[in-house]
Amino acid sequence: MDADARLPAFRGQPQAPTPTEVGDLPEASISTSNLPGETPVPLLELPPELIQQILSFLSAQDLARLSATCRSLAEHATNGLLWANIINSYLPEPIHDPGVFNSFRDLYAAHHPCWFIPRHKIWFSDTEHTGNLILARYDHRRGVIEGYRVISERRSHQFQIWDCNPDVIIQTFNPRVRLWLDDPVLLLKNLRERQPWHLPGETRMPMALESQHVFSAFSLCSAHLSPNLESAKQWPPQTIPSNHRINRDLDIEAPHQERYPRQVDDLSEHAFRIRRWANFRLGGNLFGASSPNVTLSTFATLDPKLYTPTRMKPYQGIWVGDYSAHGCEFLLFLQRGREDEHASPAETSVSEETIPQYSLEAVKLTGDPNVPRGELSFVADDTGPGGLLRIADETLFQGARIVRCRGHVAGLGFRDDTFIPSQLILISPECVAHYWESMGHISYYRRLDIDALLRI
Amino acid sequence: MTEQPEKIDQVEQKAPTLTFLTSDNVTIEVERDVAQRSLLVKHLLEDVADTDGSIPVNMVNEAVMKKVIEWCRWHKNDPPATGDDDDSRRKTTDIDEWDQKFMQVDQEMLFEIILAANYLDIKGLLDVGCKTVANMIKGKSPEEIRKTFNIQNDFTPEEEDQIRRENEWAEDR
Repeated sequence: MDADARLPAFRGQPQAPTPTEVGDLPEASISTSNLPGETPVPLLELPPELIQQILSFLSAQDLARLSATCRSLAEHATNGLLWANIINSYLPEPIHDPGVFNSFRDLYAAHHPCWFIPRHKIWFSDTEHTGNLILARYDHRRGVIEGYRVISERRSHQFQIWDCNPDVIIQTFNPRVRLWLDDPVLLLKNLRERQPWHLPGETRMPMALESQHVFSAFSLCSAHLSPNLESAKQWPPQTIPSNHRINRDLDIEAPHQERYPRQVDDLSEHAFRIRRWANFRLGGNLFGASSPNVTLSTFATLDPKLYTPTRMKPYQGIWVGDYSAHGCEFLLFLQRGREDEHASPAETSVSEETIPQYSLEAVKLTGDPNVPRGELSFVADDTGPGGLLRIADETLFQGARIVRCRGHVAGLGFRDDTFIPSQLILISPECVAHYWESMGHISYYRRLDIDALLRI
Repeated sequence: MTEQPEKIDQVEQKAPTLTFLTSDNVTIEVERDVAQRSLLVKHLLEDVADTDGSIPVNMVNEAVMKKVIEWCRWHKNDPPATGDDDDSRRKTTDIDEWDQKFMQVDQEMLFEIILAANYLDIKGLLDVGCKTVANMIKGKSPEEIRKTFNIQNDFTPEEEDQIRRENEWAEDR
């Protein structure tokens, strides 16, 4: 303690001047004189800032219930800061005003319990073969939660010559990736104004497309997953690590509690569904059940750990790939190391960590009739020294590490799928190329900047 | 510390201490490093060279002060609070096992501890206290909350009706 180096001065703390002044504040609450009807309520006697601190640990629903107890707590529970903090815990960029709403509390209530959708940002659906990748955000100017398809155009390309094998076809790949703003997939307006919010049911989304007799409805999912449900009926697919799989196979006969959450506790914060249908007859039943024009899509999200690059896993992320005739497809590149498989942290020794053996698995978030969404497109089992084929010295890929890989191919309808030998050319953490050896073809993949796409 | 302890095994050998004088005029001796979990005490000691006298805590009585010191002693090796934590993150109300047991006191004591932790500026203890109260509110109906904290319903029927409508969104179905 170098007290000698400092001036013996007080810092204006509420320090007691003399020890003789005994007990001002606490005494009042200690004297539990049993006056009838006047029993003390120590909670309400706390200074307001401490009550706020307690309330800051409560969920929105707890605050709502608390405000129904008495006038004093009702007032404490309307504090805008509490609600702003709850909302901002869901948003990538904090907001500082309630925007088009009267208060942060009204804003929260308008989208309860759907705030998890902008929080997770990335959503991909189980739509047959092709799938669908959407990005969701809260648009503060309009006060709506919205989700748009990510689309990519290949644009013009040139052929490149590879010195190693001039017969191999290589096309440059500089796609234009953007959100398809004309046709939102998800649009949640102020749900309170429309109708009382019912968890077990659908909410119509008023889209511009209704003028063309195409309708959309949104519903929440139950987190309940029966333990013996076969994996093909789960979403997200088994190729993607997840602790929040749900039942995607909802036939009309499915028990109600598996179709919809009954209370907020049953609600999955990692999935939702969208039903789209066309109805050309006037006066028809809008919610008409099974008809060939109805599609029900289940959307799931990704754990950010899976798509966030790290020093050891620099290729992790959301990527767009060139699938020639099939167009552009979106992929999750995820990397797994040895220590990920043996979860016990004590097991891995230091020496093993210095020689990383990280795989690179490219999982299709969108797909095609040959290799559909949810399937692997290619796998490099070891991007470290163990899988290294060579370091490129040809001008086209100068300096890139080329690792052993397996490409996933199949006939139409994913028939006879198999993995064929291939090579993965690790050009940079922003761009890789995949050499399908027997097909004599190299295709490029580029990383997507999700946050740039989400910017309004 | 300017003095090195000379004989470690000696019974007399003690960590440097200081004394608190509580609101009910009781002096409590406590190790300095324990007392310095309180930022109020820590700053005071930094500012005042001479600490021979006892530190008056006239907001806190003996029983409460003993609880506070018990907490500080158990947590004396915790890393210091990182200053302002990120308020925009969703807060967790998880409390570790020892703290949960420590907080199994009557409500009067619980609120006294919160007040004392606030006054003495012991962030960790204040957090645990507030979380404990928050956990007593969580998941309860308004009526259950009233019972727990002995709260009188002072709404008029009109107000109650309005509050109910305002909070309809939070109901499960």
